[in-house]
Amino acid sequence: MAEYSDRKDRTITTRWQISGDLAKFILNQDLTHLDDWGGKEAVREILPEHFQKNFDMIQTDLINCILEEKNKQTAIAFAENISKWGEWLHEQLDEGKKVVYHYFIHTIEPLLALDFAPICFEVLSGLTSALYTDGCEEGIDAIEAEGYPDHLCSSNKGAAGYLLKGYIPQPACFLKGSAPCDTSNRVYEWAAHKYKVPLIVVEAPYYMNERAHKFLTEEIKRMIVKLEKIAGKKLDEDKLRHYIQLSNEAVDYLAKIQDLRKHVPCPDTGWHRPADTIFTAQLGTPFARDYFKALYENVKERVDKGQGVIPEGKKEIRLAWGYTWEAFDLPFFNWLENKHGAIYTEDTLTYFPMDTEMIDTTNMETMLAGLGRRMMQMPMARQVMSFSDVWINDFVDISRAYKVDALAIGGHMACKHFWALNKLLSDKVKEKTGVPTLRFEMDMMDKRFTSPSELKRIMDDFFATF
Amino acid sequence: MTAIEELKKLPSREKNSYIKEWKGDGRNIVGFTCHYAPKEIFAAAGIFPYRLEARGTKETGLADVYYHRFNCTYSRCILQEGLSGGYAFLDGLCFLNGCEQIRRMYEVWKEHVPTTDYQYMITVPHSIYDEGFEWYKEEIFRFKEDLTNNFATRLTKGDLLASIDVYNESKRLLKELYELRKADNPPISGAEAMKLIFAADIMPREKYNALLKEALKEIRSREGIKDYKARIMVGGSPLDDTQLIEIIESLGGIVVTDTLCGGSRNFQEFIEVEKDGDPLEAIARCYYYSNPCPRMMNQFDSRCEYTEKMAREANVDGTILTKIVFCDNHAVECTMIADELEPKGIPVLSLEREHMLTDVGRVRTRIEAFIERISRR
Repeated sequence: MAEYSDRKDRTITTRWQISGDLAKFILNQDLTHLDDWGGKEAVREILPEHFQKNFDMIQTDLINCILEEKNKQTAIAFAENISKWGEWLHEQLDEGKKVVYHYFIHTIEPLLALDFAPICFEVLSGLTSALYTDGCEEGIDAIEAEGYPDHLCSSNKGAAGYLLKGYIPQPACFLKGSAPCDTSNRVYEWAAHKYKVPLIVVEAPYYMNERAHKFLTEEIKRMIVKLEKIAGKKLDEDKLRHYIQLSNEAVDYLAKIQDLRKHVPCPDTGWHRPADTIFTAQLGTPFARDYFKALYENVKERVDKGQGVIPEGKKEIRLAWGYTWEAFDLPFFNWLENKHGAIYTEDTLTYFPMDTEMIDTTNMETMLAGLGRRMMQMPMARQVMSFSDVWINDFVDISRAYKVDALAIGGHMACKHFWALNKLLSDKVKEKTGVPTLRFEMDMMDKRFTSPSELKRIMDDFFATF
Repeated sequence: MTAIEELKKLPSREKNSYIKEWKGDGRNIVGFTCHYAPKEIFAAAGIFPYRLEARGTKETGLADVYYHRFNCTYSRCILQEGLSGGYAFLDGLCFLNGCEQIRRMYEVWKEHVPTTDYQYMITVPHSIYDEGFEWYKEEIFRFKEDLTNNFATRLTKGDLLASIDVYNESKRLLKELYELRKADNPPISGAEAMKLIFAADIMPREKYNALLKEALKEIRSREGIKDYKARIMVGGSPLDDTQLIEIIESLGGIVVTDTLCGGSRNFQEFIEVEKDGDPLEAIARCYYYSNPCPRMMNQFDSRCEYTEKMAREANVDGTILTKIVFCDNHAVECTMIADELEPKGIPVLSLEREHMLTDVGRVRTRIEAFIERISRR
C-alpha cells in the first residue's frame, strides 16, 4: 500500500493520489458496471479500508463510465497519471522544494529545471470538479464568502478557496501569463497580495506575429531571471533540455492523436477530453508523456482496426466543441456517444494548431524561442490572447478537416471575452462551412450553474432538431 | 448661457453642438475607448478625440444579439450606441485592450457598425516595467503613423508640443476644480462637477479649457454647500453618467472627489517634454507609467495608496466603490481596496450596479444606510 500524506495542506493532492490508486484497483477487477457487484454500496464493502472514504466522494457515473470497455485503457492511463503525479509532488514537497502556482498556459519545463514543485492553479479546481460529487464547490464557496463575486472563473475561485482553507501548500510565488483573462489576472493578484509572495507576470502580446513572438521569448528570459532569484540557483541548460524533450514527446503524441481523430469513424472517446487539458498543464513531465502515449496507442489501435466508439447501428454525428467542456461531468461525453452517436473531434481547450512545431533543443536560445512559440500556441491562450479571427479561423479549419457536423459552443459563464465573440464565431463558421452551431451557458467547474441533467436536456433538444 | 451651463449640457450627445460644428468644418472625429488612448496625438493631427460613452442608453436589445448577459452593461450599452447609429458621426475608432469585454468589441464593431471606416487597436501590456513601456511606445508610434496616413494629415513635433500644452492646461484647470471641492463647504456639488469633468473628453480641448476657466471663476464666487451629512469619494467601474452621484447627493451625501478613470485618474500627471526630447515618447511615458488601472498587474499597492491619498486629501467620511455586474477588474479591486481601507478608518461601501442604473431602490437603500453609518450629523 502506498503511503498517503495526512497533512492538511496536501488534502487536495493526496485525495487525487488516492483516487488514482483506487481507480487502478477497480479497473483491475472484472467489472463492467458497479451493478455487476451489486451497486456502489456492495463494492464499497470489498474495497480496502484506505480507499473507502475516497470511494464515497467519487462520482458514481464516472466509475461506471471508466468501466466501459471502450474507456478502460484511457482510464488506466488517467489513473496512473494522477497517482504517480501525486506521489511525485509529495516527494518534491518532502524534499523542501518551493511551490510555484502557475497559470495553465505556461508549460513548466523551466520550473522543473529549476527544481520547483509546480502546481497548475486551474487544475486544482478542474480535476477536483471532474472526480468528486461535490466538485470544487467548497473552494468556490470559501472565496465567495470573502466578498469576491460569483462571476469570476470557477477554475480560479476553487483554487483560491483551497488556499484560504489551507488545503494546498503555501506558495513561493505565482506565475501568470497576462492573457487570458481579467478574472484570472485579478485572482492571481489577490492571491499574491494575500500570501505576500511575488507575482511573476509574463506579458502575452496581443498579436500572433513575429514581433509578438520575439517579445514573448524575451519575457520568458525575464521570467527565468526572476524564478532563478526565488530558486536561489541558475537554470541548467541540460536539465531544461531534458524536460523540453519530454514535453516534445507529449506534444508529438497529442498532434498524432489530433490527426487520427479526423478518421471516420472517429477513433477516440470523449470522456477524457477535459482531462487532456489538465494533463497539458504537465507538459515536461514523464507523466504527461506517458498519458498521451497511452492515449495515442489506444486511438491508433482503433484506427488500425477501423473501429469507432459509438454503439453499433448508430449514425456517427461529428461534434466539435467551439469552446469549453464541463469538467464536472466527464461521463456526459460518453452519454453523448451512447445515446446520440455524437463524438468529440476537437475543442478550444486541447487543440494545438495543425502546424505545431517541436521545440528545437539545440541550445538555450532555440529552446527559449521554442517555449515562446509554444506558449503562443497553447490551447485557449492562442485563441483568446489575440484578435477574434484566430479563434474563428481555427474552427473553420477544424470544421473542414474533421468533417464536423455541428459545433457545440458551451460558454463558460466567467469568460466575458468569449461571450463578446460567441455570435461572431457561430455566424462565421456557419457562413464559411455551413456547420450549424448550438450555443449554451454553463460553468465549467460548478454544476450548480447549469446542472448535468439540464445539459443533457439541451443536447436532447438539439439532436431532436438536428 | 454661462460657461457652467454650457459645459453641463454637453454630456447629452444630441445637445453637443461641437460635434456638428467640427464635422461642418470638414474635420474628423475619432472615438476612443480607454484611458490609455493618447488623446494628444489625435488632437495634434487635427482630429477631435471623443471618448465613447453611453449616457442615457435605455436598452441593449441590438447589442445583446452579439454580446451576452454575462457581458457588463457598460460594454453592451456602448455597443448598443454603435449599432443604433449613435456614433454615426465618428470617422474612426481607436480600441484598446483595456478589458476583455471592450477589446472584443473591435471585431463586432468592424463587422456590424459599417459607418466607422477607420478602426485601430492599441495594445497595452498588463504590467508596468521598462520593456513593457518599449512595447507600448512602439504601439503609440505605429498608431501615429497609421492615423496620420489614414486621415492624410501631417503631424510635426511642434503640433505635438502644442497639443501637449493644451492638455496640460486642462489638467491644471481640473486640478483646480478638485481643489475647490476639497473645501469644508464645497462650492459645487459632485453631480455638477462630474458633468464638467465628463465634458473634457467630448469636446475640442481648446474650447473646453476656455469654458472651464470661465466656469472656475463662477464656482469660486459661490457660497459653499453646508447642508450635507457626509463627504464621499466614489470609485470603481467606469461611470459616465451622474445619476448615481445624484442619488448619493439626494440622500445627504456630497461627492467631493473620486478615483474614476474618467475622473481624477484622467489628469493627475502632466506630460513633461525635456528640451530636445521626443514629445511622442513623453506622451507614451505619461500614459503608461501614471495612474494604473486595475487591469495592471502588480500595481495594487499603488492604486490603494492613490485611493487613500485622494480620500484623505478630500477629508472624506466614506468611499463608495461601485462595480458593474460582470466587471471582473473592478469587482476584485473593490473588495481588495475595501479590505485595506476599512482598517485604516476609511469606511467603504462596495456596491454592485448596472451601467443603466436599474434596481434604484436597492441602490438607494444601501447608500442611505451607508450615509447613516458615516454621517457627521
